[in-house]
Order: sequence, then structure tokens, then C-alpha cells
Amino acid sequence: MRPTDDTTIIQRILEGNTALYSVLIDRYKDMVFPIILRVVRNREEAEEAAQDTFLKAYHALRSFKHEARFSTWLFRIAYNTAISRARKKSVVTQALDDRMVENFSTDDIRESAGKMDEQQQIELMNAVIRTLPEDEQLMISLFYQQQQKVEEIGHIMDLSESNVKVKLHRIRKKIYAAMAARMQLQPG
Amino acid sequence: MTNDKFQETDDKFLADLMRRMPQEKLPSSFTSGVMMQLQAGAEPLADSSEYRRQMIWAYLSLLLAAGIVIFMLVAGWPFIKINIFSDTYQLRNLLSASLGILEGFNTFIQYLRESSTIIIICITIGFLLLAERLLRSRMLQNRSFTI
Repeated sequence: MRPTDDTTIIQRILEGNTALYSVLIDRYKDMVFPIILRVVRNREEAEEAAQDTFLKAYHALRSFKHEARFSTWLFRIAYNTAISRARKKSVVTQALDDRMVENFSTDDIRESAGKMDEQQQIELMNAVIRTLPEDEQLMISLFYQQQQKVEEIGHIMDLSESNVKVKLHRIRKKIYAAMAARMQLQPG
Repeated sequence: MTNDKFQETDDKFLADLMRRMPQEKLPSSFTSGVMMQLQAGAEPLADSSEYRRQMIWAYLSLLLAAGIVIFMLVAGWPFIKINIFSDTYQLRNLLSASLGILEGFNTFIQYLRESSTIIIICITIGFLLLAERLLRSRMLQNRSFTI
């Protein structure tokens, strides 16, 4: 019978049952990929970076001390791999005017967005997320889509907990401002 | 116009919207691709106790050889000047029973010193390193990659 928890699987891999690593890949590949894609913004490159991530994690498996969850440790490797690739090719993002961010009511934005159908909402959100810098895209994705805790995000992105909270707060404001701009709402 | 909602620590509206966003997935062949690459490379196996036991002798020998090299290099320095190899008078008194062995050892050391001692010790270290590598590769070959 195959072990199910990460710790046992890792132990078995280190004892020589190396094929079990495929269980970990299957378990986390679709969580790692969106993280990388948020940063490198190119599917082919993201696939290569995902492969690099799993290879690096495998070779560093002995150094995994179980101080954090395996997923957090893996996401940190993924983030660093993606960042180093993104550095080679700088990505231009559309910066939002800071003043714009302060001028909208979230209630109005939610109400307007709520009137849209689901597909439109998703398209709007996709478009808005793409306007954020890659580190902000990643942070919001880790928090809402990968269900990572603030502490874990801090570990992955090498930031303090309070720094993550401040950034998340600011990203949310930016998202609402960008949504308002796209829905052509007037600042109140 | 209020921004009170921005002060929330979480945002259910955004959380729901983000969760509904479809996420990009990797092709199904991804896992086998990575595993094939791993099979071609080295394995991150933890050293077994058997392997560690074998290796401890190799490392002890290396340590001893390194110690001898350092001692022989330092012994001849003007500030230290240990004449252990040229003056065995006290050693002879202390270990008269094993004088023959000591003299033989002394002669041997003297011979090594006068010739190419350090080169020989370096070769010994090289040999020990090679033996360690061979042992390690043989042990890794014995491990399978299957479940």
C-alpha cells in the first residue's frame, strides 16, 4: 500500500523508494504551475521552470527539515526558480495610479461586478490580475487560490508576516481600483 | 464615499471570485517527464548505516594521513623543531622492548623524509579517496529505482 502523507513519502524516498516521488509531483504540480506562471507569464517557460522546481526539490530533499509543510517548502523553491527566470526577461506591468486606489467604494464595485454573469466576472478578474506586478499576482494567488496562510506566504516570499498583511491589503485595494476602472465606474 | 471595507483582513467577494478562476494545469505527461530525468541523474538517498560504517574507516584513514602530513610539515619548522625522527634516544629507553620495531620505523620514516615523503602520502590520500568513490558508486548501483 502506498503511503499518503508527505512526511512518510519523503522518508520512503530517502530510504531508496525513489519512484514514490511521482506521488508528490502529481499532488503538487497543479499548485506549483500557477505560481510559476504568475511570475514568468509564459506557458512554455513556466513548464520548464516547474520541471526545474521538482528536480531541485528532489535533489534537496535530504535538506528538508519538516519545519514547514512540504508544500510551503516546494512553493518557495518554485518562487525562487520563477523569479530567477523572470529576472532574465523583465516583464512590464501596467502600474496603477496610487491616487486612483483611494477613490473607490468597494461596495459600489462589488455591486456592479455582482450584476455581471459569471464568465464576465472571471474575465474581468483575469484582466485585472494581469495588470498587477508578478509578485503581487503571486501573493494574491497564494492567499486565495492556494489557500496559503499569511505566515506561509511570508516564508515562501521571504517577507515578514506584517509585510505580507500590508501588501495583501494594498493589493486588494489595487484590484478594486482596477475593476472600477474597467467597469468605468466614476470615483465617488 | 467610504473605504472602510478596505480595512477588512479578508475579503469574501475577492476570495470567491479568485476561487472560481480556472487555473492553468500541466500536461499529464509532466510527471513521467520529470521522473525520467530523475532516473537519469543521481538519487537523494540518505546514507545507510552499513554505508556509513564502511565510510568511517575511509574517513579515519584520510584524517590520519592528513595528520601525518601536517605533523611532518610542521616538525621541521625552526620554531618547533621536533627531532622525533632523527633523535630516538629517549624513545629507545622508554621502549627498549620494541626497539627493533621502532628503529625499523624510524629508518622507514627517515627514508621517506629524505626521499619523497609528502608525494607518497599524497598518493596514499588520493588512493583512499578513489577507494571511497568506488565504494560509494558500488553501493549506489545496488539500489533500485523501482517501488
